Amino acid sequence: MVKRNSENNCSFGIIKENSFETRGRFCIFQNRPLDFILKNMIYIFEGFKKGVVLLFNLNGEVLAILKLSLGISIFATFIAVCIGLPLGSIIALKKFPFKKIVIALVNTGMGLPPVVVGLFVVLFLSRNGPLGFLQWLYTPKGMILAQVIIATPIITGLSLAAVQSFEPRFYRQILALGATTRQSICILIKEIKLSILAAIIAGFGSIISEVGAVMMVGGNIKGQTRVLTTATVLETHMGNFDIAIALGLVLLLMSFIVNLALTFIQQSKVKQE
Amino acid sequence: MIKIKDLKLDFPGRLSLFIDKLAIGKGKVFTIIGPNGAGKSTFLNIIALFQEPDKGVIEIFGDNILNLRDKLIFRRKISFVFSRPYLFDETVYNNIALPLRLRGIRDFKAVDETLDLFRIGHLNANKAPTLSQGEMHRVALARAFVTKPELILLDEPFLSLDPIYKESLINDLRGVIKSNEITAIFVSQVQTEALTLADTIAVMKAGRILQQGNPQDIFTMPDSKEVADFIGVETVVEGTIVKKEDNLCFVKAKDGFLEVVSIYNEGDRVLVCIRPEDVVIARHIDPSSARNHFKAKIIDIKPWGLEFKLNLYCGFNLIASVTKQSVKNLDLKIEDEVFAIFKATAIHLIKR
Amino acid sequence: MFKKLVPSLSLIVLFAVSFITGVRAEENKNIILATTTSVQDTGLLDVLTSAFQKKIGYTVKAIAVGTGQALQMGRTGEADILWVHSPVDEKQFVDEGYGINRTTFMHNDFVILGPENDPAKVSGSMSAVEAFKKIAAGKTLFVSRGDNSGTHKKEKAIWKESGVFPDKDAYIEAGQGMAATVAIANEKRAYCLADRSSYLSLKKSINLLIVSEGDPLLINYYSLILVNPDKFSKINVSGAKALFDFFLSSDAKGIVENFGKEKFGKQLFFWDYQGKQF
Repeated sequence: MVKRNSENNCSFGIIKENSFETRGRFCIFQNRPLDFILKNMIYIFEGFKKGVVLLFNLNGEVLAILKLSLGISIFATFIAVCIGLPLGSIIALKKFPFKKIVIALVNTGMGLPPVVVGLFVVLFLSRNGPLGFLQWLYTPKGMILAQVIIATPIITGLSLAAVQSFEPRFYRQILALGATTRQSICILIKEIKLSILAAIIAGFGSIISEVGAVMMVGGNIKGQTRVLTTATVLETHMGNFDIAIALGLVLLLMSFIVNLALTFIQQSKVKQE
Repeated sequence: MIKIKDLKLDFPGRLSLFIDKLAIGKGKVFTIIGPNGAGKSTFLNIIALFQEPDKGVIEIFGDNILNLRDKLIFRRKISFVFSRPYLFDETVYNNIALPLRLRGIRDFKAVDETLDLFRIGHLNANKAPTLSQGEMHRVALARAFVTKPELILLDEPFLSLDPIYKESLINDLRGVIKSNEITAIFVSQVQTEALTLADTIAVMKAGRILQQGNPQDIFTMPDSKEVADFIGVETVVEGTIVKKEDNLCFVKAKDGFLEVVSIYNEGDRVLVCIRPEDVVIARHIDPSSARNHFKAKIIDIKPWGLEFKLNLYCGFNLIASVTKQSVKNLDLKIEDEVFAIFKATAIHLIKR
Repeated sequence: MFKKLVPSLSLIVLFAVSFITGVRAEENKNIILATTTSVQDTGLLDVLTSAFQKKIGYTVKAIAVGTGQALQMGRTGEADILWVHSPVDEKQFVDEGYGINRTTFMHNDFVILGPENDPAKVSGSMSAVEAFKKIAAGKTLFVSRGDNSGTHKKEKAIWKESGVFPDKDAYIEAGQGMAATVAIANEKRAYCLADRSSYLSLKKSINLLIVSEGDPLLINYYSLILVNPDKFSKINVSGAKALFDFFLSSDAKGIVENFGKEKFGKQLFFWDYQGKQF
């Protein structure tokens, strides 16, 4: 038998505290258990259904939001790769003073809270900030900047690790064949393509799903800086859970497609092993 | 062509490398043998400019390479082969052509030539990861030669190859090196390899060169216990196969004739290796199946672990290993004349 | 590998250059409007700004934050024009010299929401103050916005009027927008203060009911304030004025008065501006 020490109401039943059989609070269903479950599940399911319908009838606004999300994140990933990949390789390969500290900094950067990045980007791009003249605040350019700052340490750190785990003697062999530093890095990157693509996938993943920084820097302005993540937040705020679910599905689907493409490239090398 | 003076590299907490004076002539194969951790690979790394010594002068191609501003030019004149082939996921052709591409050379004739030299023309279009171990090592070697380097460094390049394959590869390599007059520094732990390829052998231990000289001298006359301990003193004699009947070869070595079972042919120049344990000492000739018996004079008797090593002269220097019991029974003394007997199958020939 | 690198590098340079130069062309075409989440969440903000942008070629960057943050943006010159609903703070803002032309132009109202069973017996209260007194006395849960928004400020004003305040463990500060706050109140079967339009759009997904409404204290006035260009050089003066004039125009009046009639069946916002219409 379950003891009742205190009771509060929860939305689908009664909360039991310190009950005999369990510790802590949980809701058990009183009187009409099945009804409660069904009512809530149906609501979510309805939302889901409407979401899928919206997905297939992609209306103009959702399409615009989708294009913007993809455009910003893909471009930001591209820039982050252009900076992060060579940077990570060089840090890994060259000897220089304080190398360990630099690597620690990169690793810290990998865990940078995106929201903090957003805050600093806003401060810098605001009218009173040092970069205010660029007028990038509340524009896609500002959002790209924030996303580049978030993704670059991740790609740098993972490239760094990939290059460091590359057998040093193999690298010496490349040099011994007469390659310049630039040539050797290119050859090396081709050899660790698998890990590099993993780094790119991680970098892209970190920014396509990000919401805090792009919300702050972009302002979630309709038709200008509204992306899938911020639009989802807004629709949730407005109580339109069905649309929010639809947007969430679109985001997942799109992210999956991009990652599918990247994974195909990545795994094409593996089949011979 | 290579002159090294006063080379030093300290490893904190470990032994240091120190080479006082060393010279390697052009077109010669300089082989370094020694145990693990002796510093052999470090030495190669320094020459290839992968590691910087604390001090010293290394003169190659007329310049002190340790002072070079542009390492690339020097690196492009040499080749380095590692113990692992380190091939890329491309066709054999592309792997071998890579050094040319890196130097901006468009003419790939040399690739075909090298493919033939190492007898891998038929593997031309195969992808490197699909090759067998031995084939991969061949490709790695071919790749090292395609640019016709003046100096080639080899760091145990035949590691983990099976003996039969190794032998044919080493022979091909020898041919290429000799016919192109390439200077080579070859590092190995396997003495038979060293013997096959070497013009000069250096024994390295704990960062120092203990002894340096031609193969025969090193193996028969180690000048220190350390070298001797490592070498495991053996009889190594230069000889020539003067006649061959079926599988039996008659070898003239110094002033003696030996009968050996071997696959080599008349006219081949060889090194004759006899393990001390295979030599039987007797006061009188035994009518046994041993074809080789020589009158020998005992030059030296030294205790060796639980046994004795005899240094004999029988037209060439011969090392025999005998039990304490035998020494006592036969009453062996220096200056004694005895018979040394060993079977034709106990002799190991290395083609030179 | 080089051959592939050069074209990609030039592509990046091209992009970068176009971005930087693109900035020049947008000078003074942007108006930054700082406003509150309540007008965004109802959808009124989008409708009004779209109408403006269609009519006049400016780009409105409408940033929906809380009233507190909007006023702060005004204080640092980060916004050109404000649309907020907290009269006391607005007056202070203008008195301090940061704002000019403060114009109250529309209103909606707040309602007090509570659980179906109404444990504090709020229903039937004559005034908002009375309702709040009952909530505090009944020791029932109350969920606050807790984010310095206009709604939060109104709530605090009512508590002040009533002279009471709930016990610490009966008062929950959500720190989020209206929908989230209502959702929490719904989950915990608590009371909360919400604007009517938000309630109407969330109604279908919650079990809370209106337990008190109609008190004049619950009327929520929205005002426009132009950020004082004398204090900040970067203000888009002409753009802000254009938007200001549009918001007070008869077009805007029509949009505001008709907003929500179709969706919710009743008028949500009421027009107050009696001045010259453009």
